[in-house]
Amino acid sequence: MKNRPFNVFVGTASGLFKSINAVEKEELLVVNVDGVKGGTNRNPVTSLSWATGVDNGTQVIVGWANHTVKIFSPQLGKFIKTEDRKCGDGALVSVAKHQGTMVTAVDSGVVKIWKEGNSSENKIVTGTHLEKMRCKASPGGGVTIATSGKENDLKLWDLATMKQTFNAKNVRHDELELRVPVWVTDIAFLQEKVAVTTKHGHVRLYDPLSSMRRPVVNVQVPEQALCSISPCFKDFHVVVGSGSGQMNLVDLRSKGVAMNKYKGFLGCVKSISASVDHPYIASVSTDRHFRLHHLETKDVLVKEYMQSKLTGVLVADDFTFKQPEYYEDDDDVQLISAPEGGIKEIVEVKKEEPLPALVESLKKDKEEPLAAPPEKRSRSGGASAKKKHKNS
Amino acid sequence: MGRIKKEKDEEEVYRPSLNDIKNKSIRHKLAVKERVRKKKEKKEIRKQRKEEGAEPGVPHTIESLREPDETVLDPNDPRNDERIEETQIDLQTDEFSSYFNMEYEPKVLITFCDNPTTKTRIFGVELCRIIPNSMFRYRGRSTIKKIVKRAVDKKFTDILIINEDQRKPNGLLLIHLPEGPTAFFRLSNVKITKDLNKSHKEINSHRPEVILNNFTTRLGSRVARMLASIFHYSPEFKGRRVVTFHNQRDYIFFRHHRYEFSPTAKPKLRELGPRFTLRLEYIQEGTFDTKLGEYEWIKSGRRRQVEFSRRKFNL
Repeated sequence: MKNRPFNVFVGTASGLFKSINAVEKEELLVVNVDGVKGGTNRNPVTSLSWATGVDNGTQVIVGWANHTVKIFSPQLGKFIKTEDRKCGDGALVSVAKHQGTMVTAVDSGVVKIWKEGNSSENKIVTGTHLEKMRCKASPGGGVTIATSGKENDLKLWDLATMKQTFNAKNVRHDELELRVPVWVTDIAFLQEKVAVTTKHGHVRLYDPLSSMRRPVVNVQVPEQALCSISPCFKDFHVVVGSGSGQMNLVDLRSKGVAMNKYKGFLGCVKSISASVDHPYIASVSTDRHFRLHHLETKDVLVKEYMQSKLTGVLVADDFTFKQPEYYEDDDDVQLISAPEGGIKEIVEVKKEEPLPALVESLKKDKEEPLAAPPEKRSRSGGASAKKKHKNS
Repeated sequence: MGRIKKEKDEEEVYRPSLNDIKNKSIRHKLAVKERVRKKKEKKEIRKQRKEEGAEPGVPHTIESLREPDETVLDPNDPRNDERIEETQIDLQTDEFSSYFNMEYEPKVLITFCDNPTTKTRIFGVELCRIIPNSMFRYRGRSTIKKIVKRAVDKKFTDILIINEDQRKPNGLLLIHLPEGPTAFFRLSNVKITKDLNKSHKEINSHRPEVILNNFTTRLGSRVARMLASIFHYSPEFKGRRVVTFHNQRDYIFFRHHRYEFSPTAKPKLRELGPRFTLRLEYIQEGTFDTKLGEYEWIKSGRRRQVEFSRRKFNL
């Protein structure tokens, strides 16, 4: 059991942290790290994010509402460090860590930067009703902090200088000349650009490098209060989740369009984390279920009841999942050129079927195995969509 | 001629199905015959079973064939121990924990949609008589969000809002204060005391006993806790009043009775009224906000997904 590595991490509203080994559909291993004792709905897990240790090992940094921050090591399967710091007034909203530097954000808008081995703290005031703070390390070495919240539009900060580098401007008034309210709920980094979701159903893409402070793409998902976003397998596509349990794939290229709808939710999609290298989307919901969807076929691959309301989910960029076989064998070309033994197998399967005429015909044509592949093709349901993607 | 035909009919021919007979009356006749035969056969088996002294068979109903719900955890399975413990912790620290720890007495506000008709009004008044420490007020064109704000200031713990359509009550919104959750029920088959030929004067002012029946799933226990928390936690048994919320196939039936004891006969139940049926539409975290709220469970707009099977129940 112990040598099964954890690849999905889930935080609950009752303050528990679960690590999951999700490799195959049947074999899902869920472990409550630190057990269930001490769980309470008054102290939910509010933030989960990847962190890099000093030795560049991957870690998960977990934040609780009462300002407890713990660092989890996926390799060891346990918490390696607990920090309890005064991060400011209000509940802790987000935490992030980059090498030795920890960043905490609280409800009242105070973002604090803690350097390791240095007791001094640096403070940034980002405005009231902060709901989300996310960090991203660019390949150049700089780290960007993004903050947003209710009536607190997207702001980008540089970690090293602690200067504001970008301040979003609200969109133009609507057709009735009324101000569009600001309520940014979640942030995702897409290469140099930043995508956000709003409570009023917008998915917006900002380009901090251009001179435009307004969003370059603005997509409306009709009648949904969006509350979570994640980048995914496709470039410049994001997965967004709403308060009434709808999850969509949104294309942010050119004008932008809301695409695939993922089914199966009964409650608010609290958090989404998608694999970047493979087409899988992990999500958690207040209906107490963890779900895993396939990006292209939209199938629910895993649905697991987790007892408490869930608030956060985290998977690695290279997260992958072993699917039932019919997803894999969509390469007809390979089957034709398969060795003699493989084709015999197919013929044997045919024999069991109560179609004597067909069996006879197959026996005659044993030397011509070309009859088999079309049968295979019809079995693979969502193969065409996946194939299309492979070519692109 | 007729006699010959009759003789022909009595010959028993084995048919896998009667559907291929094209004459309707013959098909019907044979179908009736088949039905009678099956009934007799069944009776025979039952008789035999009785003679042998075996247990009677269990009839197949929608409930006995209910699809298992993954949120109902089997306590006999040792693998479920931690999950059950976690569920207990979740229940003990939810929004209703202070009620179940008897930290406050519930105070309930009952109100209506704008311009309620007589039936809805009487229904509200009767609810007010049933629920201890409750009061009803007319809405006065106020929005629900404003009502919630004022009610929190005035230390109310729950709000009930009765909606009506076509002069009949059709919806019940239950908001727990100050932090939610909010539940919306479809309300049907409302029978006020007058419809049951009773008088509301029979409803005494003693606190009733509350019975919550058959709420099995995690969602069911949440709804049950929500409904329980609008009544006072210690009943006055002197009043002999009992309020029942009975869940059957996701419909919650409300009944209101009084025990009647007599030295000679068995104890009896006398129905006081009103009666109504509830069906859950959504539960939302926090106080009422249908547009921006975060739902815990929502049916509207996805009935095909939620009610995909006749034998799958959510409560």
